Amino acid sequence: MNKLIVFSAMEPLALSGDAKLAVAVIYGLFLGVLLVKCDFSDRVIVKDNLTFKSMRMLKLLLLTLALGMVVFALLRDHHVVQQHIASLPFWGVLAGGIISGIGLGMNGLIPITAVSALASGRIYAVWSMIGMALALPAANFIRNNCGGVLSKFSGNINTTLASENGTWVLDNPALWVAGIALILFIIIAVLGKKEK
Amino acid sequence: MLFLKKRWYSWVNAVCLVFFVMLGLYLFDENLGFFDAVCSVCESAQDAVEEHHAPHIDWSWHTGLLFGVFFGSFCGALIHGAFKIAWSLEDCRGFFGKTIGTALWGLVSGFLVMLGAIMAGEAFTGQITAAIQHSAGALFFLVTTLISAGITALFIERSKEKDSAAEKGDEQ
Repeated sequence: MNKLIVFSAMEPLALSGDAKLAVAVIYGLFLGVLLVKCDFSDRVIVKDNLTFKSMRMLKLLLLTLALGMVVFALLRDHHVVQQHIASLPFWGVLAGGIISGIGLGMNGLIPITAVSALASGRIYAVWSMIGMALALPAANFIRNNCGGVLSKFSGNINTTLASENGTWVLDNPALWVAGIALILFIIIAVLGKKEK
Repeated sequence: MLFLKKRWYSWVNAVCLVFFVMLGLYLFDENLGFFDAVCSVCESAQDAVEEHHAPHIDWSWHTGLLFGVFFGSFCGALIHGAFKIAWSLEDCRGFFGKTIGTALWGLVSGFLVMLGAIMAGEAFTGQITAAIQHSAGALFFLVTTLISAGITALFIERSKEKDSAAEKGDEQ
């Protein structure tokens, strides 16, 4: 009973200052190891997964979404974590997703995996990082000149999937998405290639 | 130690990722994207080039996270046996492919990935953590990106297969 009271009285730790920096470095260390264990730092494996030669990363993504959405709902209900969602225009997300996807399909690296790849000895990841740095002035130009256009012609897409009637109800879209992701994971795990 | 050296099942990786996302949300109470960190480092580099001085790094928690990921990945690659020095892309051939081709391919792909991330407000990692937080927009971004990336990767693979088949035909 006491444990339940403590759990329900929890709030996010929300570190600040030097403590936040120190914890972020330690947290990053463990996350870096995990990125390598997930093979995200190897662009050849990432590209094999994008062309469905391997289903390992698709399974990882589906299970992460399914499990993560349920665990997040559980922890948010107990105020352990809070939701942080930014509002964005529909066309910005669509165009951004397509452009990002083309870049990802070309090289198999995203910002964080480029850092991880560089640390794993793939010196060529430096070129990707320079390309990313060059995108900043281009994006500032678009933001200053065309930023208003995207928001003018589209509504906000970043609405939450959580239901107003509670978390554990059938009309909660988040639970449906988590369920679909779990079913897809099971189908791929049963019918797809077996992991060695 | 053997546990760290062995390749993990995808469900083990997924459980670890979920744990880290939740731990990050609890510790920092912010969305865990690396977009701000990469932007901050890139802006420092740009300032250094424009003003001809050594880069002044703003040590925010995002930068610390990036720093940690770099050294964590280095240690992880050494333990996992994935550390390999590579100067050029694995699928590039010839001198020009390995030098100019690698550079151009990296520059263009990095530019596109970051431009898309800026337009969508977060990079891939930040969108995954936002999708876990029940964001409809992040889920839409993930689906769009994966479809677009899959089509691009398949298109590139097919064109390379055609090129190598044509080369073999020429040799015969």
